[in-house]
Amino acid sequence: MNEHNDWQDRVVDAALRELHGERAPDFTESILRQLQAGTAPTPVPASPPPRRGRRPGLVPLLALGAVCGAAAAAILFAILPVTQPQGVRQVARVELAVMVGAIECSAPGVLPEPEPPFRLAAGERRDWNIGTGSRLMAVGDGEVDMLVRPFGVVTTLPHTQLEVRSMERYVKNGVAAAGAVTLAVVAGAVTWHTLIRTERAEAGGQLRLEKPADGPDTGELAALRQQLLLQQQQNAELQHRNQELETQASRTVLAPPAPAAARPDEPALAPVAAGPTFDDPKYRDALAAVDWKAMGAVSNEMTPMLAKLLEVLDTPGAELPVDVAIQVQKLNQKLIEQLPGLMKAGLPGYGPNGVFTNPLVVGNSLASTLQAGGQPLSANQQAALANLLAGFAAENQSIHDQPRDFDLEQFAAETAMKDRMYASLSDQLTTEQRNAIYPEGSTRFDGGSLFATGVTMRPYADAIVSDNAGDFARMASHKLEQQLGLDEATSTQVRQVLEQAMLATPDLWRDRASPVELGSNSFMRAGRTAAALQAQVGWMRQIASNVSLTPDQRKKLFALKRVYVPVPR
Amino acid sequence: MHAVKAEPQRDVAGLVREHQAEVWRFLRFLGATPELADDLTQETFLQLLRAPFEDQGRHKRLAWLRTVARNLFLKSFRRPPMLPVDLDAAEAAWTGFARDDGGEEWRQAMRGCLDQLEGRAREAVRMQYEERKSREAIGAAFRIGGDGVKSMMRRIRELLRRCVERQVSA
Repeated sequence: MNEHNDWQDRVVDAALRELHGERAPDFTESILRQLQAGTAPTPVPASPPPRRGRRPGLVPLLALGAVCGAAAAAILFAILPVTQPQGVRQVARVELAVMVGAIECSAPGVLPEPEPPFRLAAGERRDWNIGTGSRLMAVGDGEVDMLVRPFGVVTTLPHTQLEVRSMERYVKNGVAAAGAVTLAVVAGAVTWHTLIRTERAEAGGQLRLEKPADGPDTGELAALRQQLLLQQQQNAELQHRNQELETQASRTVLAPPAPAAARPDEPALAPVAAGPTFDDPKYRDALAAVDWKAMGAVSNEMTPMLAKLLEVLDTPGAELPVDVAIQVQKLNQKLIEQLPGLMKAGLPGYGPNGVFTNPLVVGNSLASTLQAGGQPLSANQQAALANLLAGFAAENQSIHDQPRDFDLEQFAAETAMKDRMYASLSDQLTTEQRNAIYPEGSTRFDGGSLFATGVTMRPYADAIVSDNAGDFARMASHKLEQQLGLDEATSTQVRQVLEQAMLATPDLWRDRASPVELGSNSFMRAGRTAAALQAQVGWMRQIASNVSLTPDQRKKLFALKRVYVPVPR
Repeated sequence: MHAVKAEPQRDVAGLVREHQAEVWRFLRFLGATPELADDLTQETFLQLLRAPFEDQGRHKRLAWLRTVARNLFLKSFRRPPMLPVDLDAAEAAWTGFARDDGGEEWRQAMRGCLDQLEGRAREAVRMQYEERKSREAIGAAFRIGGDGVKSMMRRIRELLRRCVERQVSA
């Protein structure tokens, strides 16, 4: 029996239990008593589950732990991360840089210097002193992308409200900075992206942000190990499916073209300085502000690491190289650092990663990466790439400027253009250069290569692991119901549209999920999200035409940024 | 600056009474023991009542409560027995059952379908759900093994599910 049927079985089981006398107790008095007593939020117990009735004694135990912890912290404060003592409002600094949308922040009651509320719009950045209770709210009807240093890129749905629940601080150069922050999602939803992890929490849940690890004995390491355990569990269950993948491995978005003729006699250009190789008068200042030499060094180092990581994640029984994973995350952080400046300059692109894959950025990254790897572009190659990039940059600008009904239409058009761009650029490289940029296995999964559209897909892809079209339609319509605020009748109509659309696109159901796609890292087979995106634009149009929506629901549908990707179980 | 608004005064007792049974049943459906479901139901409501939550009606409130409940359920394990994607499927199945009436229509239909059940199937349901007999005890009565009982019960539940869905959709 598959998992879907298993849940249906459990529904019947639950109904039978109720019909035979199982009843929920009345908790009203108990809850009112606890509210009146102002009991501190109770930590959720780890299994084994408690005996019936509310657990006593956990709060005193935690308090004792906090006292012992405070004594140890007094000695180690200067060199180790410090957990905030309970009951004391401590402050730590994070840096915010908004890339898309706008936010409002407040830190009520944060000591010693209460900070007045402030608003940050796209392109703005500032330090924020946070403490428990500090709040951040997404303003406007769109999603917000922001860089929260030192943690990485955080994306929120419209009207999301976050509150700092707890944090761990560390002291660097005399300034208390946040090493980890736990955010409660009061409303909406939030996603934290790093290159190897995607964590998401919705209203009622919590999200823990952690800075990239400095050493092996950290919470991040523990999280990675936890992922490894899950991964191995899933790998074992899915080992037989891997054989199918072997035959499909060659189906990639960026199939390597025939090798360009080697031109050994052609002189390479002089080593590039930190400035851009490919310029554009409109964005000259922004491009000049980027340290391309550093970008190239980081990309050159990351590229083989990413391929190795993906290979391991998709190999049943293999052990995750934790040191590589952490190193990749740290290198990615260096790339992210360059994004706010580029976005502020108005380089066109769909979201932060759309800017990262803007033709001008790609061209300069490619040149500096090859330079860092000791295989610089020749003069002829540079001239050819300059021509190509000018054409793609113009096309990109035109896609960006074109008015559209749905936000995702721009994403789809931009992705199709960039797939062509990467293939054309790749055509101009020698075999050695191409092997350096696209090491074996790097184009099998979205996010495995820095020089493919997969990096733009990952932040928006919402994998829906499902058995068939009906299964997908039910789960996706449930998500849309929440996102657009649909009532049950409208949701049913949406589900029917989705089911028909899925039945009409059998290609989306051809490739079964591979182990890495079922893991918690959100890596998807290359091309899967792009295909789902194209299909989604189609079914969104049908919903807009055939389903009766309120003006507000229609507006939300047009602004939708999530791509619901069917992942056949 | 729009600070997070404190929620207006609510009928807390009324709110708990209205939704507690569904939250508890949802947790049981996910696999929580009665004891764990007791504990997590209370914690779920405490989170609702402490948080500045903008109430957008019963439907959204229930969705919020389910989300908190399932997060708490996952966090109650050192090694969660399922992934969040599996819980999406679970929640979809549950909302298909609970609909707007907490599953009342479904249960009514189930009563009718149970009445149609005869012979060994009716007896097996009675032994498992009414007498709370173990799988071994049921197996001994029917002269089959534990796995046989498991398969038989699944087949019966599948029959009942089909019967209920026919009635609900009619």
